[in-house]
Order: sequence, then structure tokens, then C-alpha cells
Amino acid sequence: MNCLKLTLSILTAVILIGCGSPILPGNDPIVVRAQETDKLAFTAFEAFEKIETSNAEFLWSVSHEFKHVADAIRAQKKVWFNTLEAALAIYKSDRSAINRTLLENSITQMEAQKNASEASLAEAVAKGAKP
Amino acid sequence: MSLALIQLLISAGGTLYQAITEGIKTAHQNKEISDAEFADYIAKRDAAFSGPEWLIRPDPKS
Repeated sequence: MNCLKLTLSILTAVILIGCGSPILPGNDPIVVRAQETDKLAFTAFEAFEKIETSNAEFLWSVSHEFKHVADAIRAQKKVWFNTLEAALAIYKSDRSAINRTLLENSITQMEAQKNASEASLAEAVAKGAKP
Repeated sequence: MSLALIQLLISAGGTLYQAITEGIKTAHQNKEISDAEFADYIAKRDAAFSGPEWLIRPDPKS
């Protein structure tokens, strides 16, 4: 049943993403993407941390990896957010090519952390963790 | 997508659905957030980090 719920949730998310509106003229797409990534990462981290905390004993019995992934996020989150937000601020003050590359790299790194967190969340739910 | 299907998906997904769609709403941001709005988000986010889910617990003895 949990797998069904997860599948339906992901399906819905994909449908909603497909209906997204384009970035409005006059807005810098990379700035929008950086801000989105920052917020999405927080949402993903928070969702996983809450599930890991509320299912701590159960998830520990399934795999110690859930807690260790969660602890890595807890320990590193501020560094990740600070890095992305600093790159964004630098780019907004000077929209040069090198600063754009710096920001793109920061976004890519945060997206990787977000994706890893979402994967852990999905696996935890698939294993039976209760939201 | 019909309203009935949306309601079915919402009820099926529960809290996890809400967690995901909350992020999706953010993903539909189609313009830059002002510096003031972004600073407000950061302040709220950093305040949320004081919650119990963000505390590093010692590993249980297994």
C-alpha cells in the first residue's frame, strides 16, 4: 500500500511539474533556478529528517544507513545552503560568466544532495516508515 | 485532470504527497523572489533548524 501511495505521489508530482508555467520575461532563469533549488532542498531535507526522526527505531532496525544519511544532512546543511546562497549573492552583484559558472556548480551540488535526500525518503517509506 | 482524480491522489498520498507538492509549488516559481522575500525565507528556514528532527542523536547500541 505504501508503494502505491508513493507511486501515486510521484505520478502527481510529475503531472504538476508538466503543467508548470514558464519563467516570466525580465527574470534571470539561473537566479530563479537557484532560489527554487534552495527551497526545494530544504523541503526535501525537512521531509526526510522528520520521517527519520519519527521512525528512528524502526529505520535503525532496517538499515543504519538511514540515520547516517540523515545525520550527514543535519551536520552539513548549513554549509550547503551557505555555499549556494553566497554564490547567488555574488552572481547577483556581478553577472559575469565565471560567477554564473560558480552558481551553476553550486546549484548542481545542492540538487545532488536534494535528490539523495528524496531517494532516502522514498526508500524509507517503501520500507514501511510512516509519514 | 479531473477534480475527483486530484482528490483521490491527495487522499492516497497523505502527508508524503503534501511534502512533495509543497516543494512542487516552489518549483513553479516563475520569477525571481526579491532579496527581502528570500531573506525572510532563509530566516524562517534557519529558525526551523532548531526543531528536534535536526538534532544529531547518538547511534543506538545494536
